[in-house]
Amino acid sequence: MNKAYRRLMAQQCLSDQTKQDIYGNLQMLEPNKPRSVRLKAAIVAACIMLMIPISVLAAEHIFGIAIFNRVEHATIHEQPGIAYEIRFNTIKNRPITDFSEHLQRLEETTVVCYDSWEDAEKDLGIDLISNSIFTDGKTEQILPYVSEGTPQASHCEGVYCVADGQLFYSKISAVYQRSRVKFMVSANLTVKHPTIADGELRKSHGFEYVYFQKDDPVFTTEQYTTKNGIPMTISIVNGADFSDDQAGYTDYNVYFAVNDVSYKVSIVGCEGVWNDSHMYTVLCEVLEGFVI
Amino acid sequence: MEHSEIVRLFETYSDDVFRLALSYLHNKQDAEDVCQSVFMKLIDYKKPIEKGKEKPWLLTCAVNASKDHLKSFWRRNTVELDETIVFSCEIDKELWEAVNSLAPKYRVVVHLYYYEGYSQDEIAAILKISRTAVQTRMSRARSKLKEVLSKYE
Repeated sequence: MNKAYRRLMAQQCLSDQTKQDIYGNLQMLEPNKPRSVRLKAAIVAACIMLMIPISVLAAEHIFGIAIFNRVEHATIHEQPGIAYEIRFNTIKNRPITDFSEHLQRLEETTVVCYDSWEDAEKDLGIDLISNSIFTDGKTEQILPYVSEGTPQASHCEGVYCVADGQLFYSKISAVYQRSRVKFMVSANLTVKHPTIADGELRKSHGFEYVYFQKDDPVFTTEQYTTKNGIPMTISIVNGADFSDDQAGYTDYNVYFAVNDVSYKVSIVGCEGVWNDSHMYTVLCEVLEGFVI
Repeated sequence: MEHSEIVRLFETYSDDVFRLALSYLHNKQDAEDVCQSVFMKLIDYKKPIEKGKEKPWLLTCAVNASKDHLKSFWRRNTVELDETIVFSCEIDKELWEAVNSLAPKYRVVVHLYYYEGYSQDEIAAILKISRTAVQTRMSRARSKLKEVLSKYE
């Protein structure tokens, strides 16, 4: 596959005519004179860069979750973006023996389709958190959006990542809809590995988002404890603006951990009119349904 | 960035940018349009690009431009095989069609891995996704291509 694909693509080149056209344009266009950096952006960037060491030291540690703000000016990006990294500091890497036997024997990264969260749980061999709203008649499982050509979507998916012949990470995720709001629930587990250091595995808990914004989004967190006593952290990004459909609306993600499994609940869509208040209300209903 | 440097980057990497766009769009004319827009963006880019990171920067731009192009692509009603793609043998054409059957996000991972030779971490950086996502996409692409891959083992 390697050689054949290389041979195939090596034969494909930009046509001479197009090369000449682009080259001609490059010669004709004078490079833009350096524009003065917008003062506001420069000051904000400078302040944030100065704040980074302080924010690392003063990182919020709430129920084992540390949240860092970071400004990305990486040169591989077209424009500056803002990345938020969420890490679970207190999650332990599970021993491989916790998992079902066939997952212990996995030799390569595998994606498995399940009909339900419960089926995934059985296959995983580890008890996951349950949610009473899944069966209250007002929430339905839905298929996630998949693009053309993608293997058939499933109601619940398990991703099992293998390195050096052993599982090191697994993620179970399912998408639901309730009162027009679509949300995803996912469970992430890391596994003690003979060749990957514990710290490196813990890094894989990090959820990193990069938004390319015209204006700086506002990032806040809210601490939320359910009636069942589960502490959670809600990240709220106003003006996330990362797709035309969601322009100007708020991005909600919730993080919590139970029994060395880290969970995330994300609002991933809304049928009809997007409404922050409605999405937040439904989100809280979902959170209140979790039962240890 | 100096104009001479922009020209140097064009002369060095234009075919690589074109090939990545082609892997994404599977259409030569669209890939050429993307290639043109990437180098026009380079002219307008104000910040210096770190030495040694120019190619990943260009490839990331190409991915983003291809995605934008694809959004308008979906408005078209028909998809036709691009007859200007060069195939040296029938197996190449079958491989091309097999890769074409993948979703664009899988095709680009296949291209960056098998043609450009990037590691999964490097691919993750170019596509701005996690390493896990790269692994997942590679796994799915390989499963789909399994029948074609077996011919080359």
